[in-house]
Amino acid sequence: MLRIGSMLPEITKHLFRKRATVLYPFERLEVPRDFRGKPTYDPETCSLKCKGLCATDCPAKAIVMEQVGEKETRPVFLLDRCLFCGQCAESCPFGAISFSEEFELAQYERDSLVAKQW
Amino acid sequence: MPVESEIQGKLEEAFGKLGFEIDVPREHRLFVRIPAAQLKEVVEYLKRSLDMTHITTITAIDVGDDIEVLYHFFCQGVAITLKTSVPKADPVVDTITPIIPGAVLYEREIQDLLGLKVKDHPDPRRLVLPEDWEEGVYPLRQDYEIKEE
Amino acid sequence: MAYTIPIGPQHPALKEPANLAVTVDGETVVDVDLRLGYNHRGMEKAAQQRSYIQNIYLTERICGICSMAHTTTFCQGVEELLGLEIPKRGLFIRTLVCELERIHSHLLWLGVAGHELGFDTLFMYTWRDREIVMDLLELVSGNRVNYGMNTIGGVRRDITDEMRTQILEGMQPLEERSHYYLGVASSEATFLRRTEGVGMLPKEKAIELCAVGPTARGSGVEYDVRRDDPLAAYPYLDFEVITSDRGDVLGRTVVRALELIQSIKMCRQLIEELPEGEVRVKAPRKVAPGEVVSKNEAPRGEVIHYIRSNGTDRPARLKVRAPTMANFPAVLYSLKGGYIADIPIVLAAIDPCFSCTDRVMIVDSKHSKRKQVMSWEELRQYGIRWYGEKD
Repeated sequence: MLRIGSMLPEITKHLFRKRATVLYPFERLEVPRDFRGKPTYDPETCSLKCKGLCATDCPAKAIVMEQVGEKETRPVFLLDRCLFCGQCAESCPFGAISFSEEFELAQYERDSLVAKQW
Repeated sequence: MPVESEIQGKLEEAFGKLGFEIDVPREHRLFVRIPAAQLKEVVEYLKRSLDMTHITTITAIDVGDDIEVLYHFFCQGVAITLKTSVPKADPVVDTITPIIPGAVLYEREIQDLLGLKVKDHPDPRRLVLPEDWEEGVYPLRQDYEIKEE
Repeated sequence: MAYTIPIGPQHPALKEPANLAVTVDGETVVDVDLRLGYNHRGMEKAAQQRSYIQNIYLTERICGICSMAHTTTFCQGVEELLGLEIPKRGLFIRTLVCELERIHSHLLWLGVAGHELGFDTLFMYTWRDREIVMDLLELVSGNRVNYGMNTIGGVRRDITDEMRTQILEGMQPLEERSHYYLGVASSEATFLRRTEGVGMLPKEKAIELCAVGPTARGSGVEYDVRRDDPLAAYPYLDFEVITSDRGDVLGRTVVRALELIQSIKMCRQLIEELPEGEVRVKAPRKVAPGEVVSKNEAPRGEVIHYIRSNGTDRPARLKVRAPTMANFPAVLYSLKGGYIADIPIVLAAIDPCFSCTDRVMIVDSKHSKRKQVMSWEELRQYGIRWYGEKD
């Protein structure tokens, strides 16, 4: 049956219901468990000698290895290139990288996005 | 008898004397290697006798001295791939648009990105690269290197 | 007298830039030329310089909406080259995320179609309901788009029993809303007037021009990779392939709305029959020389990945053909003979994803005495006004 305004009953119902929009930043939504936010690095667990397995597998080349000793290297994270995919956490055989729930990472300058967590 | 063996049998019967290599790695897949001169004849045969109407895509690979061109069709539930090879010094293939009109954009793409010349193509303009791209420079060839900044 | 109107490339309606040169005679479209290329990113060349693991994330970003379809096709191709067998639970979870993605893509399309016709209410309501699916996807995979679920050898994350209950709870309102939108699409007079008889694509032409996906199924061509060339967990599911004999934009709308309902049914079946076990197997990094053809059904149609390996940990050649490219000749055919006012909805009816297509679009306008440049937004407003004043 052809009608005009077939959505009108639905619209009128919604006049008396709660708003669907979440007024961010005044209201916030919960992030789910295992959400992939900023990568965090544990300097104690890192083996220092694996020659950068995390950097080899990063698809965006967001990890650069810095020399800290004769044969030891530590990773530096470039957060402006990071995809937050989690491959570095999977590739690290020692479990030194994990993902936090922090996702509000905007900065004004690119240099502030270099995360050297040791 | 499964569909793949039936198709293999029919192709060997029709073209066996030309020495085609047919490979059936698993169900729903069939690979046939043919010489480039036989291309139009085989596509015509597939359409007429095996009820093939759908072309999926055309791939071209630079393997050193030759360029391999692969035509992926879909027919009776089997993904048939025809493999041909042309020398890099004279990379010319026939067009199959009179038989399968849906192949027009795929042939334009291989002309653009790999420098293959498709004979008698109805619309041989560039498809992907910008108009002011240099002639004779083909990005998907092995000798084209991307320079890191 | 015929003159040509170039349209594009920057237009706010579609997600990506596109350029059309439309030759018109009065109000009727006589000829169309679609030029591609604005979104060419050189992914096939980039894939040759990255390892297989890095390529999973590269193929994921070919498209934002079909991202799971592209990664699934790539991973299953590499797994075939390696001869791996994926545990059943992994296949079920992969298929579940693929079907959730199909639901979100079709709801998005319903909204975009409503927006192209000026029916913004439908747009707002479908996108609000889409939030239910996006929250479920975030729960399962950790991200709303570009999920990162697939890896070579299976999936990376498992589903807990609590997630299973939440997904089943989410399917309930989605099913009610899908039936409601199907009702709106078939009975709302304004919607029907803009979509009935518009953009006709007869069945023989759809077969001849090799169209795929809902565009072909809306013209009666029964081709669905999930049934004809099954992969992942589809052999264990029972579903119908939806076709419509209409051949116009309304046919394609009805096909997508009914596919929504089929996908919801499939998700329920996958959750209820989820087997126990592992979700992934370990995969070697280097792949022996060989070649493989891998196909999948994305929300827009058939996707094919061709991979050739050469014994190292980088592919020798990766060729991707996304479904929108296969639908271009069909849409150019269906635009001819229509009005200018119909251009936005006919182009949107194939659900174009130009970044999937990897093509560049540059439009040339033919030289003629009168030239009129219209942006997409102007064209859309023109269509709404033209039909409003028609009677």
